[in-house]
Amino acid sequence: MKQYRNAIYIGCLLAMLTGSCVDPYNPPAIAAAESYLVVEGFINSGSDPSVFTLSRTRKQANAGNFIPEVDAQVSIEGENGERYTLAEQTEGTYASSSLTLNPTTRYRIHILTQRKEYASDYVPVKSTPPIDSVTWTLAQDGIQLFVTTHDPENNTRYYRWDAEETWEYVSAFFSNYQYKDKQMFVRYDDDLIFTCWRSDQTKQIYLGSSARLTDDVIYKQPIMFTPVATGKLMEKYSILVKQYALSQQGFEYWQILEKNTESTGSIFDAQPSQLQGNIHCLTNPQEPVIGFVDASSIQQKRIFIVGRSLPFRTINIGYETCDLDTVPNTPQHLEDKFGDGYFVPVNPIGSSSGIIAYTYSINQCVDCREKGGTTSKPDFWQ
Amino acid sequence: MINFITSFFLLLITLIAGFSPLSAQDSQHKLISGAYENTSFEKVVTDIESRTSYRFFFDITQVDTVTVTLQFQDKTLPYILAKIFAGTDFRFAIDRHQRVFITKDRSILTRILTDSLAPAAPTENQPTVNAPFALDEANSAVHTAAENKLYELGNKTADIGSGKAILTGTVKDSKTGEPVIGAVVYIENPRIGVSTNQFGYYSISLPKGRHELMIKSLGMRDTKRQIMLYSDAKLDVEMQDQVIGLKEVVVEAEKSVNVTSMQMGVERLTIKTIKQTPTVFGEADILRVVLTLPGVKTVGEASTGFNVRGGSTDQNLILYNDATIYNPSHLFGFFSAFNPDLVKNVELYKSGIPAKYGGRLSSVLEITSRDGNKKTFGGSGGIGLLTGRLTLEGPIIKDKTSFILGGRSTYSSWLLGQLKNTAYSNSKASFYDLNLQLTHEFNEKNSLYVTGYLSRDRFKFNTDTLYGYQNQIASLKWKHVFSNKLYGVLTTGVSNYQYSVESDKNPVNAFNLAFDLAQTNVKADFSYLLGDRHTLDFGAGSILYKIHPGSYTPQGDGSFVVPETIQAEQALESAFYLSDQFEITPKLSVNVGLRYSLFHFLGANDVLRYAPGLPKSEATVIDTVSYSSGKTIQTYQGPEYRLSARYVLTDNASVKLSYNTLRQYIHMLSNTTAISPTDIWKLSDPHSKPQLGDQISLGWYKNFQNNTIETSVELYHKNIKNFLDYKSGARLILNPHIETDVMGTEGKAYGIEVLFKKSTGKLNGWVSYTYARTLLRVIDANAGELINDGEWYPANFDKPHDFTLIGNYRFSHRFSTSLNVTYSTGRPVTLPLSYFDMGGSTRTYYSERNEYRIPDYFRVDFSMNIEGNHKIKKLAHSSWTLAVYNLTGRKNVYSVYFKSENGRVNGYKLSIFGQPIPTVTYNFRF
Repeated sequence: MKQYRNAIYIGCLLAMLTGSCVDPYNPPAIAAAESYLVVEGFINSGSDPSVFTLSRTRKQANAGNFIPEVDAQVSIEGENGERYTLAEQTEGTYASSSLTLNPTTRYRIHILTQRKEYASDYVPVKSTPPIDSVTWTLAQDGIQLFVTTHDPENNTRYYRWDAEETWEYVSAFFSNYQYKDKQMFVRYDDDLIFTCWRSDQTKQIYLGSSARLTDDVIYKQPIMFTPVATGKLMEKYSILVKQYALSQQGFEYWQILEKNTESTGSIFDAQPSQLQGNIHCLTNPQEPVIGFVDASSIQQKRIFIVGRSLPFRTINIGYETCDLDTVPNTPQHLEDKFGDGYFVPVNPIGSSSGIIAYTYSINQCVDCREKGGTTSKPDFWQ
Repeated sequence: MINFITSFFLLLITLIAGFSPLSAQDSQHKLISGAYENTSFEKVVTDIESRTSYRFFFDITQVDTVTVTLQFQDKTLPYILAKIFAGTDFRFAIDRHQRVFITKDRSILTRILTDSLAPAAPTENQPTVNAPFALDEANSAVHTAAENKLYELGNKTADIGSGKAILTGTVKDSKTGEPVIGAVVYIENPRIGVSTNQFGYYSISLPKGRHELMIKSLGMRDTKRQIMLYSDAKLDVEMQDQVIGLKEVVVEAEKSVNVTSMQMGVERLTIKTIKQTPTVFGEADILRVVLTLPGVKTVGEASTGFNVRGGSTDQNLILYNDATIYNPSHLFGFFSAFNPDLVKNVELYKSGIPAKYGGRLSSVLEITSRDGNKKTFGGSGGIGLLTGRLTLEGPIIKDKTSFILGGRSTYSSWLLGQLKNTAYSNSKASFYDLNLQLTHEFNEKNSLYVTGYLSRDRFKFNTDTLYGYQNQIASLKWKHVFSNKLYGVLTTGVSNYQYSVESDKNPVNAFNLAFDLAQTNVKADFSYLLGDRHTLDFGAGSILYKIHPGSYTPQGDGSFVVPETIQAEQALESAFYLSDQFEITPKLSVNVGLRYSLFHFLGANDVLRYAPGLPKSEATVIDTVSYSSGKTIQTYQGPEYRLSARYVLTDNASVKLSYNTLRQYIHMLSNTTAISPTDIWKLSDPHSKPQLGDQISLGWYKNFQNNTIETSVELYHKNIKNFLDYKSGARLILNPHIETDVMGTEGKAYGIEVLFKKSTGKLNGWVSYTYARTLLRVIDANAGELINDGEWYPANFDKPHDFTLIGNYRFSHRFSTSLNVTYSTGRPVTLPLSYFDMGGSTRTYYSERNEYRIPDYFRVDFSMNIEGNHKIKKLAHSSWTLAVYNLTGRKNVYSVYFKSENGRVNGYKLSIFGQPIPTVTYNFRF
């Protein structure tokens, strides 16, 4: 159904609309809604701990209003009687130690909150086949990433991916000096603020299925698209793709979630579907619980893309308005200019009598950390 | 040709005769004696001519089969001729010059208007012309004369006596020879009226004697005939198009018909009305005009799918020349799939559905195409913003056989290619439709109609996926007139609908998904005039369905796709019906009908059986039963009642009541808001029962100002059972057990429709207001989940208040303007109740369905029609239509939706046509 979204474009086009036919909409204030338990996570059959995030539905869309479910007793239970407790790491996040699960047993998550008891259905343990490759192709305004995998056992069939992207980027001007304690100092390696690395989690749901194919093969399944305009392709870009095997029901759950919240906006939109997971409130069976629990492992693969080699004009993305100016090298001028940290010195202008002035620019143009990254290079960086 | 020359000659001499002074009046009564034995008529004539001053005029080829065996003594010539021609089609007339005209079927009127039978006649010397032999020229002087003439119909010499006689005939367009459908033929006193059927044929039972027969039809100039009815007879009437005005008349209602006719809940549109209503792309669009009618709603302007009185979009039977059209739209519903140049008229039955129709719950939309011009060749066409069309028509055998061929296509693919944005220039969207209609009149009693129709759409967006769908229909219709009282129509045809989706970009996943539906139908419909006060309609028909619900096949050698084909479904739907229109008193009439429908779901098929009492799911399958080909797997049957009654309160007011029950055995599966190109159709089977509907409606009708202003109020209440709704995440495509994903729903709809219509004059149009509700609820105990906990909730198209104004003002014959104003309550939507975080983003959680509404809808359209001059001798007549759709530029909200983007939830409202859209269309005729 995704492709039909394009029908709107045709509609807008046919109507010879010059602008957009989509405008922001603020829904009317909704009367008090009940708050339901939201469970995100999976029972990890691999060597890593199982991590679950428990929260509550909320009335405000803003992520700042996130309501963690604290002080719950969370455990993973096997049909054979195994039981592993999860400890609360941060508010609402519960993690197990590294578990060795019995592949012939089914497991579930059991949650006891302050007031109610919840449990998921028992789910069989799946193991996720490794990712064969992560590839990419050039598009007009970015790069499209693909994932290829297969299960020789023809057993997995349903897949979900998410990813962590990391990119190296630079600021507009390489600053050799810093103004500190009313004095100019030369920057050394540790103080450089020109090159940064920043990481982010993908925010979309990527699903794939080979259920209709003879072999359990996922070939070049499109996952994320990285637009040039984000500036992520400026220097070097890396993506760590994580693959999870799903049960068929789990796949359907994620598919509904994707349709309800991402594939909307076509003229053929369906009614939002009821999101039915496999977690139930034992205390009050009528109470909806959001989330689906599967037991599987993670497979991951990282690739690097050198942004400078791409045929895009990536220089200065995000720094289009940056300019240099000069300030005379007198203590008063320097204090006036750099005292509050808004401006940062870039380079000295010298003459036979020494440094007579400094070029400078605003902090956002000079300090790459202003764009959310860090100057410490990640361990995996190549 | 001989016929024509003879006619012309006869006409000429009749004209001369008319101007001559009266003479030899009593010589007509000269008495003759004689005896003939198997003598040819020609010899008899020679004999009589030799003995009297009578002179005979006739077409020798017509009378060469007539032989005379007769003895007479001292009789007048009229007596003798009456004896000779008793029981034949021949008619005779004798003028004052003792000229005797023998004609077949149509009698010549030789008397001038001072004849004692026509006391109200005007001057003595007015030329007399016989309308049946009027020349082709649409000469209104001739018509006026025809209106004033007295037609002596039937066997004139028969004792006129009392009692009734049946008058039949065909009403035709004088210019093209095409039948006029739905023309009303009536007399005022006593009030007796009928309307012509789809062949222009009428049959009316009248008291013998003198009448003024009125003939009226939408878009045609009213006409009348002075008749003297002696016995059962035939009278063909030609009506003139409103030639000069071209578009002067917008809604030429059938005047008092809305008050006097039995029918209620029917809306009739002529192509003129349709062409005058401004549309978004300039081209006349049937379905868009249908959407403006009271009681018809749609989810939004991107869709031509329509909901009639609370019914869903698949509950409309859309007939194009009696063949079913499954997807009546082009380009996802932005255009309707009917070429306006080929359409003659459109009728929408909302209630009081006649017994001859069945198979859908909510409405019948009957679209009748034009017959080709039987007299001259011609053509028409138009160039609009996105489409071009051309129609050709003409006689194959003059006055007997005609054709009309029309085609329409779009240049939107080319337009898309011109755009800079690659998302557009890599897209394509094309469609076309072709229509062919052949009409052949073997003789007066037998006519044959052949219709062919093809519409095809292909589109591809900036992706590798190509979508396509097409409708194909062919139908053959044979009309036979058995007698004045009985005629029948035999129809057979096929309708096919198919779509496909293919993608070959990714070699491993390359696929082709296909769906097709074929129906073959045959039916016979009869109409019989029983006595004076009963009209019986009866008939029977069958439809054989074959559906391939889906096949999924690999494309190319590298594809790993496992071919999958959902087993075909086949069924036979049959029905027979009988209805009687009974005039109990002149004021009270009833129409009582019964339709009995029978549905056989046939093998070969493997039917799953589920554990009783549990929700149907893959887990509860207990068994599979295989049926061999042609074996009946499941039978559904039942009566459908069609009752209506009319009581005339005064000359211009009446009340009507109708009650209908209907059954529907084929369902469209769609969980999208608008009709989408990949919606599939499914037959009733052991798991999905037929949909049942009943509707009761009550209406009050009153006309003012000499029937030029019509008002009506209709109330209705409708129930729908076994309507299908879908479970969460229902898979409709390639689902071998769809019954596990659907749940039974019931619906109720009620409302009131108020209409005020001015049909004639410089200013005309209509204003309607509707209050209507449509509510649904899930009642399936085995559904597993219940939408809104099984409570009533509003349907997607529940828009309680609806106001429409369609107005036209004619400044001159060459310049007219139209204005549309539409207001309706916003349709219901489901809004998120709360939010949560999952999968790296904040997401929405929805609850109660359709609890909120989008903002109200309001739109104004305006158009101007400018005609070229109206010289009759001209290479081509052209006109320009300038229109602005959505004049106020209001951004009417089509839908609101919420999307998780970059971790946040953003709300949007989508409007389809959010700006004024000006269009120019050039139309021509030749």
